Amino acid sequence: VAGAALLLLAVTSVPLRAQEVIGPEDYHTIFGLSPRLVVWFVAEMQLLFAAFLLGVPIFALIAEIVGWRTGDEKYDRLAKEFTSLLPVCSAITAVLGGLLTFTLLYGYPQVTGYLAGIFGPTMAIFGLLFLAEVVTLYIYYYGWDRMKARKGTHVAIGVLLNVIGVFLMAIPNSWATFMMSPEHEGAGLINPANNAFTGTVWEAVANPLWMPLNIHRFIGNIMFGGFVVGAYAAVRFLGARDQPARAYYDWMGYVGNFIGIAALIPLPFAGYYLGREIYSFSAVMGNNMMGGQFSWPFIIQGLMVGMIFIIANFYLWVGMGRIAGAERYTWLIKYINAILIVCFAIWLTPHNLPLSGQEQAQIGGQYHPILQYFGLMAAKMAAINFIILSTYVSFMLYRRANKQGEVRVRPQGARAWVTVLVPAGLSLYLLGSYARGLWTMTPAELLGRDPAAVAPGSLAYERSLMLPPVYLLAFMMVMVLVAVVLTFLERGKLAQVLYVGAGVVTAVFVLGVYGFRVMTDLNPYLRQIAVTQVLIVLSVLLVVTGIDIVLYRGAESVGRVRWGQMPPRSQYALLALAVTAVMTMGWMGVIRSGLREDWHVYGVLRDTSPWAFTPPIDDMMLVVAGIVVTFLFLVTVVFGLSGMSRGGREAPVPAMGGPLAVEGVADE
Amino acid sequence: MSDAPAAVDRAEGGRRGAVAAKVVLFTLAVIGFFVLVGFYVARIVGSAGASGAAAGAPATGVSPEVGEAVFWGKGKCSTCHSLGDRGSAVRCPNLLDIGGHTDERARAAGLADGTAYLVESLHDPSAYVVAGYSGDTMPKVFQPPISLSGDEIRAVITYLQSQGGTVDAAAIQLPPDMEGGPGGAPAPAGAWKPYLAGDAANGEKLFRQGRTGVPPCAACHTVAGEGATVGPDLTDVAVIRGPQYIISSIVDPKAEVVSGYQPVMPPNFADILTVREIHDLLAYLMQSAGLPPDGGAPPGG
Repeated sequence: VAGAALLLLAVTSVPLRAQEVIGPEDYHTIFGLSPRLVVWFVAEMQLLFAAFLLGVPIFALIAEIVGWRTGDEKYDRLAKEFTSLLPVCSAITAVLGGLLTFTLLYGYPQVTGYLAGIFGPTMAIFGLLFLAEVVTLYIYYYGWDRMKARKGTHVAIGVLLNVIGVFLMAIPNSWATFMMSPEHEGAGLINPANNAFTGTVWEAVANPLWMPLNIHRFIGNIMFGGFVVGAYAAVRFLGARDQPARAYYDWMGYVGNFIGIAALIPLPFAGYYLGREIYSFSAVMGNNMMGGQFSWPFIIQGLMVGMIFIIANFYLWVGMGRIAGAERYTWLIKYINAILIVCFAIWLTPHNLPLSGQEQAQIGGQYHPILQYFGLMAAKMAAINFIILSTYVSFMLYRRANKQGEVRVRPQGARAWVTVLVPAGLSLYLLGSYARGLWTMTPAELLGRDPAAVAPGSLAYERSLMLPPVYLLAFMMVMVLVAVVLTFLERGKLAQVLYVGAGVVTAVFVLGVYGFRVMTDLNPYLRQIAVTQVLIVLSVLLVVTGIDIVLYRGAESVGRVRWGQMPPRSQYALLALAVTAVMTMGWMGVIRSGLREDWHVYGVLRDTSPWAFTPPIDDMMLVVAGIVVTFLFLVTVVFGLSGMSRGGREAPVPAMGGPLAVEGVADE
Repeated sequence: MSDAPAAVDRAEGGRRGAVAAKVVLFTLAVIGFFVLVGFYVARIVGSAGASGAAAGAPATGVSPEVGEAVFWGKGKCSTCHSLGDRGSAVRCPNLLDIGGHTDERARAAGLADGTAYLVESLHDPSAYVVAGYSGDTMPKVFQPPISLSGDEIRAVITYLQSQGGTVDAAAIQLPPDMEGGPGGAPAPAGAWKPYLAGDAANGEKLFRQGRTGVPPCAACHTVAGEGATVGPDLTDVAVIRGPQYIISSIVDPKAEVVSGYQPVMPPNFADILTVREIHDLLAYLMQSAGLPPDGGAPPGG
C-alpha cells in the first residue's frame, strides 16, 4: 500500500493536457474488460475487506473491555479469537489496495492523475497510516498474552488501533466524496476554464459529503463487525459436536448480534444525514437518488434494510425462548411483528410505479386510491421511525427477559443520577436547540431564501406551519423531565412506557400525518418535519436506555440462560443478517458511486469513456452478487487460514454459565 | 475395534460436510433472492438487458416531441415537476397547461411574453419562484451537471408551449450562456437582444440618484467621469462587454467580478428593481457608450 501510495505521488507530476477534457484515448481496457467493471469489482472488494479490518477491531475492543471490567474470561477469548483473523485480513486488504491503484492508473490514468494531483499529500499519509495500523495490530495481537497483567496498556493499544483505523477510513472517503461533491456551493475552488482545483488540500478533503459519509461508514462498520461475528458463530454452532460447544457459539452469536443491532438502530439516522447532505449539495443529485434514475435501486436498498431489521427482530424473539422468564414478554411479539410487517410494506411502496394502461384503468388512475399515500416521503419517514422504535422495544425486552423485578434507583446514589441525567440532558439539549431554531428562524432563513422575495402573507402562513413541530418538541422536553422525576420516584418502568408512548405518538402518528399536510402545502419544509421526528426518536433511545440501565443494574435473575438451546433456524437468521448486510453495502456502494452519472468529478470532469452510462438494474445486481460471493469465499479462506495458524486444532470452548451476558455488554 | 474411532471421525466429517453444504446453499439462496429481485425490478422498469450506452442516445432537433424526451429524460425536469397526472414529483410546481399560463405570469413579472418568461425561468430559476416553493431547488440546466444544449432547451420550451399554448420555436431567444452545452450551436455574436426598449433618461436618474429603497449606482460606479470608484468605470461597458453582460451583472453581481475589485455589490437588485428599470439602466449605459439605447429590443417591448 505504501508502494502504491508512492506510485500515486509520482503521477502527481503528470500534468493534465491543456484543456483538461478527457477523451476516449484516455481509458484502457484491462484484459479486454471494461476498466469500469474491473475497478468496480476491485474497489468494492477492497472496501469490504477494509470494513472487516476496521469493524472487527471495534468489536474486539468492546469485547476485551467487557471481559476486563467484568472479569469474564469468555469475552477476552472471544476478542482474541477475532483479532487473530486480522493479520491475514490486513494482508489481503493491502493487496487489494495495491491492485485497485494499479487498475486505476492503467484504466483511468488521466482521472487518477487529476485526483492524485489534488490529494497527493493525503495519499502519502494514508500509506504511512496503513503501516502504523499493521504495526499496532501486530503488537495488539501478539502482545495479548504477554500483557495479561497490564490489561489497561493492552486496551490502550486497542484504542490506538481503532483511532488509526478511523483515520484510515476517513482519508479515502475524502477522495470518494470529492468525486461526488468537489466543493461547497459558491466556494469557487474549481477554475471553470481548466478544471483545476485551486483550493488547499484540506479544502478538498473537507468537501460537503465527507463527514456524513465518515459517520455513516463508521457506524456501518460496527454493525458489519457484529454481524460477521454472528455469522461465524452460527456456522460453528451448526457444526458443533456437543452441547458445550453449542452453548459457547450460541453465546458468541448472541454477543455479535447484540453489537450489530446496537449499531443498526442508529444507522438510519446517519443514512438520513448523508441523504440530506446529498440533497443540500445538489438538488439534481438528490432528486436523482430518491425520485429519478436511482429511485428503483433505492427501493431495493429499502428492501434490504427492512429485511435486516425484520431478521434481527426474528433472532431476538427466537432467542427469548432460551431465557427463563422471557415468557412474560412473548405476548408482545405478535404486535411488534404486525407493526414491522405493515411498516415494511409502507417502506417498500414505490411512489412512481409504472403501470400499464390496463392496470391504470382497473384502479382508476395512475395511482391506487389508498396505496398512493404510502409511496410518499411523509409515510416512509413515519414507517422507518416506527421500525426503529419497534426494534428498540424488542431489544429492551430481550435485555430484561430474565430479570426479576426492578431494583431501587435512589439507593444507587450519584451513579444513578449520572446514568439517567446525562442522556436526559443530552436529549433536552437536542430537542430544545432544534425547537429554538424553528421558533427563532424566519421561514425565509429556514429555506435559505431572500425574505424580500417572499410575500409577507406567505411568510406568516409558512411560519404557522412550523409551529406544531415546535410544540411537539416542547412537549417531549416536558416528557423527559416527567420521565426523570418518575424514575427517581421509583416508577422507572412507568417512565419508560410513557416516554416510548409519547415518542411513538408524536414522531410516528402526529408528525407522520402532519407531514402529508406539509408535503401538500409547502413541500420544502418536509425536511424540518423529518429532523423533528429523528430527534424525538433519538431522545427515546437515549432517555429509555439510561433509565433501563439503572432499573436493572444488578437485578436478580429469574433463571439461567439455557445457552445452546436454540433451534437451527435462529442460526440461519444470523447467517442471513450477515449476507444481507454485505449485499446492502455492495448495493449502496453502487448507488453512491452511480449518483455521479457520467462524471468522474461531479460537474467538473466528465466521463467520456464508452462505459459512462448507468447500468441496468439486473446488471448492477449481478455484479454486486458476484462481489459478495467472492468476498464471502475469501472471508471463509481467512477463517481457514486463521485455524491453520492454530495447528488446525479446535481449542476447548470455555464453560458457559452465569447471568445473562447482556448485562455485561450493556452496562459497561 | 481400532476402526471405531475412525468410523466416528468419518461420521463426524460427513455431518460437518452436510452442514457446510447447507450453509453454502443457504447463503447462495439469500444472494439469489436479491438477484431475482433485481431481475424482477429490471423487468418492471423495462431496462432488463438494455444497453446503457444505447439508452443514452441523444434526441436532436427542436420540436415538442424532442422536448418531451428531454423533459422526461436527460433534462431531469420530471424529478421535480409533474405534468397533470403524468409523473409523481411534488417538489416543484405541476406544469399542467403551463403554455396557457405563461403570458399571465410574464405580465406579472414585467416580461414581454410567455416565451420570455419560460426562457428567464430556465436562465435564472430563482428569479420567479412560485409561492410556496423553494428558490434553491432548480439548477441551471444549461450548466453542469445537466448541461443541456441550446437546442435541447429550445425543444423543452416548445414542449412546455404545447401544454395548453401555441408552439412558436422562432420566438425563443436564448441568452448566449445558454447555448454552450454539447450539441448546441454557439450563439452568433450580438444575437442577444434586450426584452424591452428602456428609457435612458430614467436610467440616468436611477444611476445618479436611485430611488426610495434603491441606492444610486453612482455611489460605487463612474460614468462619464462622475461617480465613485469602488466598482469599475461603466462608461464604455456596453461596448466592451455587451448588453447581456450588463443585465446579468445587475441580476447576479457575483457571477463575474472584474479583476482588481472586491465582490461588494449588493445581490438584491434583481429583487428591488423592476425589469423595466433594469432595462432603463441598460439603455443609459448603451447611450453612454455611444450605442442605440434600445439595443435592438422589439418596439414597444
